[in-house]
Amino acid sequence: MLKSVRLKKARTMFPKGTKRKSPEDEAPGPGPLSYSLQRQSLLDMSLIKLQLCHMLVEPDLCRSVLIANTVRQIQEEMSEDGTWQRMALALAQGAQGPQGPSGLAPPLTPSPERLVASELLCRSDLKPAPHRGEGGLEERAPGAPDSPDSPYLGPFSRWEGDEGEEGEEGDSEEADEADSEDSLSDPEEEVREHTVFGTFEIKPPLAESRGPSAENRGPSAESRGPSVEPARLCDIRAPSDAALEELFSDVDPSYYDLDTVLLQGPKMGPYDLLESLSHSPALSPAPTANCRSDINELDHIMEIIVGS
Amino acid sequence: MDEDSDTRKINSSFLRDHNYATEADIISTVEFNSSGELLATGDKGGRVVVFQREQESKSQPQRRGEYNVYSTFQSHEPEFDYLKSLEIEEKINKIKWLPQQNAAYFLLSTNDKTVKLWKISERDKRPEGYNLKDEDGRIRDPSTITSLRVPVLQPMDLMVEATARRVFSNAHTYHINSISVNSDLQTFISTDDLRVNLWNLEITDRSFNIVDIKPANMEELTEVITSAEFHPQQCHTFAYSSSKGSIRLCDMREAALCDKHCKYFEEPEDPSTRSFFSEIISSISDVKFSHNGRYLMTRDYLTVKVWDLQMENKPLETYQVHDYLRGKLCSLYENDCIFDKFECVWNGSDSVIMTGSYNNFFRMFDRNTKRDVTLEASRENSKPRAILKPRKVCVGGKRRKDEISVDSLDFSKKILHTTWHPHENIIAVAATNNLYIFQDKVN
Repeated sequence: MLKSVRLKKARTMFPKGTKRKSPEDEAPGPGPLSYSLQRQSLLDMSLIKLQLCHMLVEPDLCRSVLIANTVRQIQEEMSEDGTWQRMALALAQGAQGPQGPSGLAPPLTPSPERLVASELLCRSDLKPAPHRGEGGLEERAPGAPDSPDSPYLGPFSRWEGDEGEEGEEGDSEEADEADSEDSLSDPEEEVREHTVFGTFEIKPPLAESRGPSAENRGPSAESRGPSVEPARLCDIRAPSDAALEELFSDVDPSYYDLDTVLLQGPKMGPYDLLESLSHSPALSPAPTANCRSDINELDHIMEIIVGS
Repeated sequence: MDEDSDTRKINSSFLRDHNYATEADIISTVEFNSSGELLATGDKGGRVVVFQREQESKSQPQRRGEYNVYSTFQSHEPEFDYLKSLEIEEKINKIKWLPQQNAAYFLLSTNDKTVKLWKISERDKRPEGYNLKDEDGRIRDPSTITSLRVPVLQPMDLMVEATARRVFSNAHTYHINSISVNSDLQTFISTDDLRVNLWNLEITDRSFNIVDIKPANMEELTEVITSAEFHPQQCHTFAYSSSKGSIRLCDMREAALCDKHCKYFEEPEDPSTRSFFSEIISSISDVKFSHNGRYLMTRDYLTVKVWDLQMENKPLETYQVHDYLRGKLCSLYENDCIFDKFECVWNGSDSVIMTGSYNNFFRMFDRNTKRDVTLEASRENSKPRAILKPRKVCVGGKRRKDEISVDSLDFSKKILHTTWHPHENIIAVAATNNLYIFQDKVN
């Protein structure tokens, strides 16, 4: 059974060289900068957890409900202090601009793609239907703030299809099924446009140095860090538990570092935080060679699983 | 109960009997039967192993009865739900014994979807001397039979057989998390994330839904049922706990559908400790009535609480299981440990409560003396017949000898399932795939 998935993306969350504005320029937040970062990382972590559920066995509903409630809480708090609105704004800007590395966005949001992942997944009536071109996502303006308290959608459509009396249950189930087949080919189109669903594209700004992921989703020029592998794996219907374990066995087990660093509190300024993260052996972006070998290993495992 | 006997009970005077390694399968539930003579374990592979306490021998009165394997059977098999393209795990989630009414033993075992009633019976005699077949079972030629004889029962080697007598299936869309036998011994409830169903033990093709918290729109789901149990004496009362930290007591006489509770237990949240994890750690993983029926015990991630059934607004007692984890909640959320579902258990006299923790530690709290102890279930740290040494987790900077620091705790070694003998101080503790049975020291 899939166990602890470490935040591999944590390495990329605070990459070297990302320009950060000083706290004075930052819009007023509820507390020190580290709190907002912590909250954002918690949000991202939660969203990933909700996605990593498409295993062979039906996932734990209680766990999903608790994670979804946490996401909602964070979303509500972000709406209250205006962070949410700023993110949405940055998203809108980022979507029009080139899909490039961060540095353009306001603080707290190093990557527009990450905004997309967070924002979209917290939106209301976000169904897998868009994959089939029903245009649900495209029609909607990327402005979640207008409905910050709309019910969080996504994980629970999987538990529909109870007595079968509600039509939408059937649809979302179908959509779920179709999703699993289509997701391997569709998402790169969506990412190219402006949206992400099911893949949590948390694009690392060091994308270039990592090299392309060998397990291609078509001609997408974007590279994906290993963080995307788990989400995609979910859509493959029959990964063996052992293969998955192997896949994640090399994920960094130093989650305590993240805890320590992020909860350092106001003692650290923004640059300190960045420095400590980049110097921490566990969390610093791995040298290119390591990334490549990681990816090769993952590719190899993926091949085994897919049976190519 | 005087001070000395209390001290003896919880201050490390437990001997270790046996260490059973159950074929590398992870134990998912343990349960003593109502007399304490039998101990059942269920594992992830769908098997049930039943241990029986050997009779105490007169020649060695100080050697207490030990538990030996009595019966092993495959209770559930893995299944595949073709409609949803999902596997149904064979892991045994819960086992509940029925009180013994004749020579056979009965237990209910359940996986995520199906409850089964198993009959465990002994066979130590077999009939011999048939007329129409000989001893090997071959049919005799009737023309060679000249006289009739009456078959007699001859002793044979003891054989313990387990047969599935009832299968209660197709009543749960969501995963069953608990079962509970009613004190009327005729009905039982099975509970999944959103519903509680009432069954008659004799009828397998029909069950009554008595609690349903499924919202009309699943996307509005914010709360699930985590556990449910019948009151030990009142056959019309049951309680169920939720992922939001509340317990509802329901009376089945009020209405057919018990969505309306008659008592609602919840402790208001302490605003000073509020965090994004507050709700998750308040989720109740287990609820148990006391044997006397006056109290309820609940286990959430960091505490065990004892509630007086007459007082709904706050618990009577709160015990910190591993408060040193409070500063690690973010990591524990990341590695999913925060979702671990620990069980809790009363001793026979309701004076001591026990629950598990990480690093193969388990904790006992004496409700009268307010003393507590941390013990460890591991082969390395205790030899058979040795007295368990109390353990301590060091939270501050200075670590004393024999203390273990929070960062050294092994979170993969968790004790989720424990059970206490109904009358004596014998406990069974499941540590991953090992079962530990501890007994009180005999002076």
